[in-house]
Amino acid sequence: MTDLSTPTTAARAPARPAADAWRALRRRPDTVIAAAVILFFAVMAAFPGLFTGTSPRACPIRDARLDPQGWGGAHPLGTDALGCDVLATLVHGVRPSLLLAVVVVGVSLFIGVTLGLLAGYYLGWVDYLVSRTVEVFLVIPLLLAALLVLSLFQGVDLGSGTFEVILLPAIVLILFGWMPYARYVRASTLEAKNLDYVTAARSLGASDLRIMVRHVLPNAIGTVTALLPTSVAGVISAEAVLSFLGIGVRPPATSWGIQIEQGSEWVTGGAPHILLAPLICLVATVLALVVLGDALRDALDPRLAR
Amino acid sequence: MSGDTSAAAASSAADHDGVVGPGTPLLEVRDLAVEFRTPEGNVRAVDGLSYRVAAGRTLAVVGESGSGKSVSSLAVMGLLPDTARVTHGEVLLAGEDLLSLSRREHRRRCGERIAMVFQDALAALNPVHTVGYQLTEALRRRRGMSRRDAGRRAVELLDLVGVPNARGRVKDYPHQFSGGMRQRVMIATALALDPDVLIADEPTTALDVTVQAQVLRLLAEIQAERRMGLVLITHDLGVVAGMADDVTVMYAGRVVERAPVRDTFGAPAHPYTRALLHSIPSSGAGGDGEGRRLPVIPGRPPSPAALPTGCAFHPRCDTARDVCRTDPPPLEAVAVDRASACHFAAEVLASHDVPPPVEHEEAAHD
Repeated sequence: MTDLSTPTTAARAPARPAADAWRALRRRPDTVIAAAVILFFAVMAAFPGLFTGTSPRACPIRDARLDPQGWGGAHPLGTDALGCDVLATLVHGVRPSLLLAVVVVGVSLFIGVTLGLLAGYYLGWVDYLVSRTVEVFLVIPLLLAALLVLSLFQGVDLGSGTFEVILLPAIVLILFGWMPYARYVRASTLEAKNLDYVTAARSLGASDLRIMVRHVLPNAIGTVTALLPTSVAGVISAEAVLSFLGIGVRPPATSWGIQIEQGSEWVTGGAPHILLAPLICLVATVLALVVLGDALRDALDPRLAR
Repeated sequence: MSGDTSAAAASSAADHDGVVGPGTPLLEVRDLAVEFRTPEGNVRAVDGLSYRVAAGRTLAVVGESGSGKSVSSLAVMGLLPDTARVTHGEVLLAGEDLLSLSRREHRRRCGERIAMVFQDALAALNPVHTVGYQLTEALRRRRGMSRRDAGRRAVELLDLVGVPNARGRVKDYPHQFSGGMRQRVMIATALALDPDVLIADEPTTALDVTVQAQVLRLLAEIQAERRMGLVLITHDLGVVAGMADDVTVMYAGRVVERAPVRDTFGAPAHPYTRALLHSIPSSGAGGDGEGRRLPVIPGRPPSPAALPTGCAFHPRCDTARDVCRTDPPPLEAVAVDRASACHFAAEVLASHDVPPPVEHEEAAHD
């Protein structure tokens, strides 16, 4: 006799994680496309030589503001106001831009989540300290702080390695980027920590650290994951503002932010491609991250899956 | 599903219990008092609660909402919120006072020696982890069990509590279970570390009536099998009649009556217990009572912040006299194994005002 009481949900094929993940992906083609876009830019960041043979620093001024010539031409995407090849600048700008975005968002997320979790869980003086610090950082204008950091590092030679060129903007942007994460996580921690499953975990003898990391955090992180993709866009464009002050990505390295900043002057001057090329790349990256962020949130929250 | 077999097991377990008799107390609470800090000052939620539970015995703690029954169990488990503190009393687990231990040591005993089943299983299971993970988190962490062994143990535990197709369901999330199954998972989680004492805080309140009976039967069965001490916190006297050996009735943070279940239900020694028993609806009793209104206890339980003088129950009591308004009655022995906190306990006990028989859970729902 067959067991009729077996619920249908349990009757599905034995779990094979790889196959399950692939099936889930096939059901969401946008995730595949988004992943491909991110992969594409990641490859570009790692191996810029694959995409262009032109140096972004070869800028003959007589070739300034050439229109895009299409594939096969000397300047497939044209040249910018100084005569530099737009495609080459774009390709070589990927690494600093994306690295900066990932480092800034990653570190601020870590700081914000840690402080928010501690503040929300322990309350008392920990919360007082964290909340006041958040408020202090929120009221200091970004540009003022940027100028301060600039003066602190004046005359310090940081070198021109991959990390060195983004160090200054990274410090400034992290310093002023962690507060939203701390606030969101603190709020969701306050909500989650009084729920029964936290009490239940405690009744089974779980330590504070375990409760915070394994039980509170996964339930508190949801609001923050939605914030991440737009933060990446914010970091890339904020870097442009900083470079205007001379503390962005250090020349001769270049970035999308700098390109967008420079290109915006020529939108009405007959050379919109200088702005459009990096802008389209930025928008594509951010959209891809938004889609991946959604997929990530679904994967983290089993209630939304299936 | 597994109802028929467990019913038989439960009834045989109950018989078995009667033969064993009371052993040494596993858990003993002595004169426990818990206070909450509020803007209006300190409020005493539990005042002088004492009880003892022996291996293989079930103690029911009964009372209305706000009588302090849940707070007392949180105190035993060291789970009181920051605004509450234990002002005096002892919680002895096999002779060791839990309340004098450090927070860390207290927490180590929890789960290992004493575990708790919560009222709302959906809220008490973490929505982002599979039930298999939650069942074995403590085992993996505290016993250093390998992932593979833990997986096997999770299936065993689910089997133990009668979740069908346990192997297929360990990878499921709490929201994929029905209410009754979820409460079974909750019980399995509490049993994972093989505790000596289980505190069940209104384990069936969130369930519908037919499922309640199944879950209670499961609890009784497991308790008898493992010779655990069970503290059953409830406001359902039907559950008490079906499950418990002893009963402690609480009112406004104090114990008003303590007795073996059979004795209390036959002849209560406190007016509050008597009134509670009278206010149970019964289908069979009182043939002439067609259309008769169900007796209720007038008024409402007092706020712990503003307790009446004297006996806290006197404003609602049908036998209250002048002395009740001024002198709080002490909890005193009225018979063998029985105590009541009433100035007129002997009178109430002797009045032979026998309440209608309370239908047992099994009888009521099968």
